[in-house]
Amino acid sequence: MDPCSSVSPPVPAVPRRPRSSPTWSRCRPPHPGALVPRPRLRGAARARGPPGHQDRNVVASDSQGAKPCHGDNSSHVAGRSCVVIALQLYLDGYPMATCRTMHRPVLCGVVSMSGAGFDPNAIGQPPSPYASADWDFPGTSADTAARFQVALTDAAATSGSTPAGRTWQPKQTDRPPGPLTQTEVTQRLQHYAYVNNDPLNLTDPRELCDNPQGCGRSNGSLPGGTGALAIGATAACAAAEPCGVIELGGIAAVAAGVIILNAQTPKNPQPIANPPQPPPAIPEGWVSSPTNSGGGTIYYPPGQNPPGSGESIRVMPPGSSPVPGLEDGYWVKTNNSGQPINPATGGTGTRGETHVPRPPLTPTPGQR
Amino acid sequence: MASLSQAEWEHLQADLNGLKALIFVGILVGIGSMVLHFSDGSSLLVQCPFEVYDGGTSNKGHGESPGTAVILFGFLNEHVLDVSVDVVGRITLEFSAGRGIRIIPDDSGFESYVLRTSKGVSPVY
Repeated sequence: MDPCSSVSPPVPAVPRRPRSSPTWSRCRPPHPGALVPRPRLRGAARARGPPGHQDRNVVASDSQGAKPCHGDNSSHVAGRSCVVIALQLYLDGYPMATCRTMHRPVLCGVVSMSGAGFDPNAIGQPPSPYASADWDFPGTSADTAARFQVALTDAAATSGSTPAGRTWQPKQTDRPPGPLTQTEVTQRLQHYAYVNNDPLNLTDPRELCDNPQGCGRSNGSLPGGTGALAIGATAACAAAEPCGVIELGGIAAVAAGVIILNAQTPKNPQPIANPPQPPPAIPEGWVSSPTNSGGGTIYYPPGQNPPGSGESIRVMPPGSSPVPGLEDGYWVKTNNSGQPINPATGGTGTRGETHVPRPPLTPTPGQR
Repeated sequence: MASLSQAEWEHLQADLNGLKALIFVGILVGIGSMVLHFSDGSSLLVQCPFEVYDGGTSNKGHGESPGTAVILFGFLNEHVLDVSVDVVGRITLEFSAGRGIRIIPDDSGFESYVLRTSKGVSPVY
């Protein structure tokens, strides 16, 4: 079960077990002020997209979304820092790229900070260029949003300067646009959102971030001026990073903070119809190109434009899908019309029928 | 819901910009998928929920439910007025003010849609 796939409905009540910390219990441990190597990612999950893309994970901006902080301090505004909240996802115990993939429940956002506390007016504002009307995450539709609970816990809690726990909740449709009021912030931010605000009776059944790859935050002694975010039950983690200290390449500069995302295995995923099998042999003369997302490679006859609009074979790397059974990657073959086909029948099919799992350690065609 | 990285968001938006002013010329409906075709050969393979909105009304369909494709027919041979994608990968194809199609990734873990343009292939989960 991969918990990093989607946000789920409220976590079912399960017996609570002792844990080291009810407050900061998971995710990559912050190393204040220090650059720490990002844990190695498994397989192709590490490098996705065209060259250069993997190094541009997150962008910070100030509360107006107008001052991007592209990994340096050039846009740092005196007296005000901005924080990048970059979720760190874990798949099978391996941390996945932060804010890199299209398919992971990665959430990148920016909250503005003023002094040691959050600027509540910044909450809900989109970071540039995420100028989406739906930035009042989480959730992309009413039904999805209703499943989310986000807790943004002020890391300065230890200083007592700000409330210890808060929750970001879905936008209320009857709420007029505009920044949240302090009252709304107080009402919305809850500490134990990862257990549906019921830490006495619920716990995170997945314990994803208790893995040794990057979790283990055990108490609330985060440095002031930083933050943490929790979204429902865990499945993804993140770090709140000060403006200008952004993950670049394989380096994570974690000032402080933990983000927990409720991203669970997809609900009722379609069954995988086909057994693991290597991609079919690529016909001689076909050409290939990387996909623009997902880290895959598509093979197609020369002259086909756009790629994949006709017969093609697209091979996706391990970690590209959270669906159980596709952990080692998958491939999709399309017919002359660009429709995905079920290799067992030759006809078109649903995703469960056309996403064909690769066996472990299957080399991508043309690679050794 | 999965969110796009900045780079992916920019890349996807750039690819989608190529659909502006194109004509939505056809829909290939099959078991398990629909392919939306545009006048320059670009296509959008849809296997996730979508929504057609027109003023205050909307109808929902699913790329894996062939019968729901009919709600897209009303846009055939219309020009794409605008196209955008938000941070969670939801595409909005606008054909006129207040009328359009939204492609809504479903977080199933499978590919929700695959954009295929001359700039490349972008599977989105």
